[in-house]
Amino acid sequence: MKIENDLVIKASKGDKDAFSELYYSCYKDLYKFALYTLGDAEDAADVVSDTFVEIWKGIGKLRDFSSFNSWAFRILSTRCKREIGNIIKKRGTYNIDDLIETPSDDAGNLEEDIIESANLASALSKIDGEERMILVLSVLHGYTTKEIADMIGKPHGTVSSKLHRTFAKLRDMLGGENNG
Amino acid sequence: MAEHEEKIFEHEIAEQLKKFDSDIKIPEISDAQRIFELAEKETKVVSIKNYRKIIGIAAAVVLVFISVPVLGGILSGNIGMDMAASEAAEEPSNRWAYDEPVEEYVMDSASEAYAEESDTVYGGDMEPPQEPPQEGEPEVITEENSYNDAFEYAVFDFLTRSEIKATSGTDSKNSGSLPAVKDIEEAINSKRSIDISIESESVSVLLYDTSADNEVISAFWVEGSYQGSGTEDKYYYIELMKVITLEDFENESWLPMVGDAEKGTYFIDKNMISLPDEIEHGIIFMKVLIDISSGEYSITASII
Repeated sequence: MKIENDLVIKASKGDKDAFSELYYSCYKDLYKFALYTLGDAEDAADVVSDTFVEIWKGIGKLRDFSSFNSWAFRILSTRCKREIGNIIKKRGTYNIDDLIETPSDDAGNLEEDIIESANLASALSKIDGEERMILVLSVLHGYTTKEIADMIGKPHGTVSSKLHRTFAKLRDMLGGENNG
Repeated sequence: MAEHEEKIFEHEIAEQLKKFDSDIKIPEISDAQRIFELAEKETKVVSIKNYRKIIGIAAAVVLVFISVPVLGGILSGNIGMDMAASEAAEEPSNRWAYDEPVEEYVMDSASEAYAEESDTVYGGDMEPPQEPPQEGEPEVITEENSYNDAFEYAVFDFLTRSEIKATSGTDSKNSGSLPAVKDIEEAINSKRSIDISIESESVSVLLYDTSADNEVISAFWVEGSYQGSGTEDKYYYIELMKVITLEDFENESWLPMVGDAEKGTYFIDKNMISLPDEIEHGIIFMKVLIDISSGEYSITASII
């Protein structure tokens, strides 16, 4: 997500219009991140909403405006981890395969693409929430493992090895489709 | 797989994931005004909580002032309560009550420092410190001493009817153990808090790192009915039991289950259960030991 520094600066000074603009520009990415991590659309929307409340309350104290993105993801990842705890507490399970809808409105979509997406969704549902977090931040948002480590509060080495292991797990699960 | 092939595979996965990501349906985004309203509402709730907390802390301070002289009197062997209380009040070796301000034990400086830090980083999600700043050098609690020494005594700060929070310090002269918890949230030291939720046939455990914005460092549930819990050195333990039938045992469908956020659902390791020569009652007693610093846990059991 690309955020203008000016917008962050204005929001940090209490400008509600600027914050609203930030909110609408970031929502999609933060929501998807939460959805990948939690696997539940409703939980993801709640967590993102709480995250924006926290962002609004804390943005006035943000010093490095250019770090807004990583700061927002950091708050969100912490909230997602808490939510994972609540899922365990409720003895619930999460299955991203059931919850991520991949509509194929495009008539040109090939059956192969749909199967590929279904396989990927199934594989994603079998790795844990933190692994999904790291994978998404790395692959979809382009953060380095060092930046991810700072965001989720884990040692750099742990993040690197988790990312490597996550790819290895996906390779085991999807290997047939990709190499065959 | 060669490094080159790995790179190709990672690239393929990345491409698939990007495509997959673009297909995700985004729900209708609620009005930004809702965020401002929620923020305002939360601020009001925090203010009420702070008020309750101040009242709770004041009650705890009064309780400590009342109970320490009485306990001191009992421990020094005086049977007459009035005599014991007045003698203990003059006893210079009772550091807990007199060498340092009692407030330091109710809200230790590490918690205050964390509250300030969190306020800076996350913009006020943490409640501000309730106690006025203490004079003199603040107590420095390192990772090591908070994990290893923090259980040497505990002062309970009664917040609400359903919530008990314990803060800990390092006075080795006042050692003691924490009582069992049931359906309450208990802060076990300045760096960790544990939440135990009890159902009729399982117990779930969430261990939080309070120094990292309450990050969950361990989350799991264990099948069995709750019997008790407490601390042992740097461990928190939970005792459970499960009744099985002889038929279950013969069918090998008797091992209690565990659900873990990272490991998934699994059965307790059979090798960690001590078996008698003959099963008489069909009751499994389990003990879960949780390493408070790392969050790792192990389960041992015996069957009678």
